[in-house]
Amino acid sequence: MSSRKHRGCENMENFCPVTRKRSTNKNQVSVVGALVSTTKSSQYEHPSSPPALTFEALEEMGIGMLDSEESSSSALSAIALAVSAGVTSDDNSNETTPYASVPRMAHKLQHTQRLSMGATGDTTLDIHAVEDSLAMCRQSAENLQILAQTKRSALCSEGSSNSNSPSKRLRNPLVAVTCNNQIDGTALLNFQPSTSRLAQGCLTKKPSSAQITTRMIPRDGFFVFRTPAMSAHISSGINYFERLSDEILLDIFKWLPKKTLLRMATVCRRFNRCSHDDSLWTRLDLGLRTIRPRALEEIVRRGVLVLRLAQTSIQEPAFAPLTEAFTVRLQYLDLSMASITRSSLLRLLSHCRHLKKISLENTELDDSICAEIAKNEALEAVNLTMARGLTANSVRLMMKSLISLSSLNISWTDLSADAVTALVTHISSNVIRLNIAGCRRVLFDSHVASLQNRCPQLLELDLSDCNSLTPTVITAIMKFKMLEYLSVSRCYLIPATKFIELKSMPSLTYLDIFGMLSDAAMEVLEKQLPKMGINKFIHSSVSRPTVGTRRTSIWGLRTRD
Amino acid sequence: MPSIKLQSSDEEIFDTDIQIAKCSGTIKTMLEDCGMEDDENAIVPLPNVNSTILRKVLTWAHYHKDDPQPSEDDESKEKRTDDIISWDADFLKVDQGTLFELILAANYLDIKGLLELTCKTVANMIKGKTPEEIRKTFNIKKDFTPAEEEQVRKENEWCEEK
Repeated sequence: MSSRKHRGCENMENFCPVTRKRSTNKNQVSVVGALVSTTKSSQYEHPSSPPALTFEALEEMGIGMLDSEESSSSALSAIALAVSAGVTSDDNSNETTPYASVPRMAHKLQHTQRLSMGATGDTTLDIHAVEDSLAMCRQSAENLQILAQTKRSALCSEGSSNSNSPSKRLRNPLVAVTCNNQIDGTALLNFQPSTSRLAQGCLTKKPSSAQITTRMIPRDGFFVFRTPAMSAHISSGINYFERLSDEILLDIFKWLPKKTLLRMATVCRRFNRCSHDDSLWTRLDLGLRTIRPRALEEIVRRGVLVLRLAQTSIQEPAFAPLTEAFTVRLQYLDLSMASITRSSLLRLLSHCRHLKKISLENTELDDSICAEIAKNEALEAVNLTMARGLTANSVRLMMKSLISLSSLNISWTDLSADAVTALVTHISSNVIRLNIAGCRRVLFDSHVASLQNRCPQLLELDLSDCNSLTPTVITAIMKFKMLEYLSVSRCYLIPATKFIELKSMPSLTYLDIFGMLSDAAMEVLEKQLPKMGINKFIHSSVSRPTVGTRRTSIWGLRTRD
Repeated sequence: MPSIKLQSSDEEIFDTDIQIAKCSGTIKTMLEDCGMEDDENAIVPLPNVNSTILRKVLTWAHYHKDDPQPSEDDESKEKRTDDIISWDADFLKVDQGTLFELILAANYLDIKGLLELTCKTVANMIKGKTPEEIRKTFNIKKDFTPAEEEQVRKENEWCEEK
């Protein structure tokens, strides 16, 4: 992750590992870097970047619906390689100033491209399309012959240019790209520039092989970069996947991004069956996306364990109207800020019995939803921050049932005084982190005393904005012998001098009292409490799936493969 | 260095350094279970691997003989396919038939590193292609009925395309 943070020119090495190994030419790296930054931000047009490239990159990023960053970056690096290859092939014909030669070559290129356009339609892609097997055979025989010739001449030229060394480097990037096959159909078309550029390089460099080359441009331009062996399969007609067991098929599938996996399902029956395997769907991140009707049912039925749907918009109906009862494997569910109707949420939770951590921050709840939550007795962390619709009954039910709970964030949920009483009376004594902030006028000193009885080993307690608390609450708080973090921000009834008493709590390390003291008073307090970290945390992390800018994991578990 | 003899399906004998042969879990177990390690003339038959493929496999194993053992916990590792080293990329510049034979051999011989590498390579060939392009690349027949196809398409369209 950290390696992808800066994608400047100098960091191309991290971004595009293959280039790192081969490119020694400073100019070349900077060109590639510039191009990548162009495709990334599309803020400025580099003279040598073909418009299609930018479009391609944007498409990859925009449409890349399930793709992890990784795969889109690999696609980008493939493009970068393609470009670097293009640049290098210019390098081939004009080794001293590769950078300067780009625009000029690009200009010439248009010409070549136009010339070969009608014919290039006949290349790889269309070869696939030819169904007539007779024609295929003839063509493939021809291909092989041409390719053999090309290879011979390529070998020749390599031998001859070996003395001025960079030939090895020149060949490799292309080979790596074609071999890894990271390019899709459109990227393939984007290769035409570099292809014809190289072809042109061949023309100018080796007039002796001109006859072969001209025959090649229309029919097999793309194969210039493929060894004969590589292209042989195209007309072999054998489906090698048939030889693999399902187990091996899964070994391949596990390397595919989720988006590709969904696409694989539509290829054939066997792929469809295998792509549903539980093992492929352990983690799924659909944060910020819009999910189609009934997709949620598909998702949970795949056996997802760690599901991130933060800020996801879930379209109705999320589930098919009538489905038999089924239980899902879901254990970690992040629905923070998701847009989901109460009925869909109820349907979803009615299938969940193994949840360990759940975040329903800022969602609409009701008693029946809470009853379903309560059926997940293994729940360890619950984040209900700003959730609406919590009642005293539902709080009581959840607190009574969730005996394994160790971390609860129920701040700003507009609880009634009864709900608060239910909470502090029935909360699991295993709870070590509790955020109950925002209980204005409903949380009193007596509640804190009850809480202390119930959960004496609390480590973290956030009582900010519980502005009915009086100075006497400090006495109750000081009975928490293990408390490390306390927030009483904006509990205006507690005077500053009271905080000095907290000095006698050896475990307490952090104290948040935002909005309480003037700068001068703060200085005095800091002197009184020299070891205490005061006002270090603006946001509570209790039960929150994601903290700070890190968004690729929830509760420390990766959401992407 | 002690060596052993590996016999391919077409009965070619490969005199192989025992350390290299042991990168195959299958051979390793065979040697240890049958106590063949000390027997210089023992021949290990590998009826599922032909000589062409076995030669490739041994070339790979020779190059990677000093690699650390791949860790068992598959889960904690990030799944990247863009970390193939250039030697491996060059090594796998082969036709599809050979690539798939290598997968089968790596699976049969239980060579984790090679299986991972070959599977990643196939995954990279799949990535970014449309279903039709995947079918064409690998000569896969679309065996859905039109109704099934529609159903499968619906089941696998989860997100709104932006």
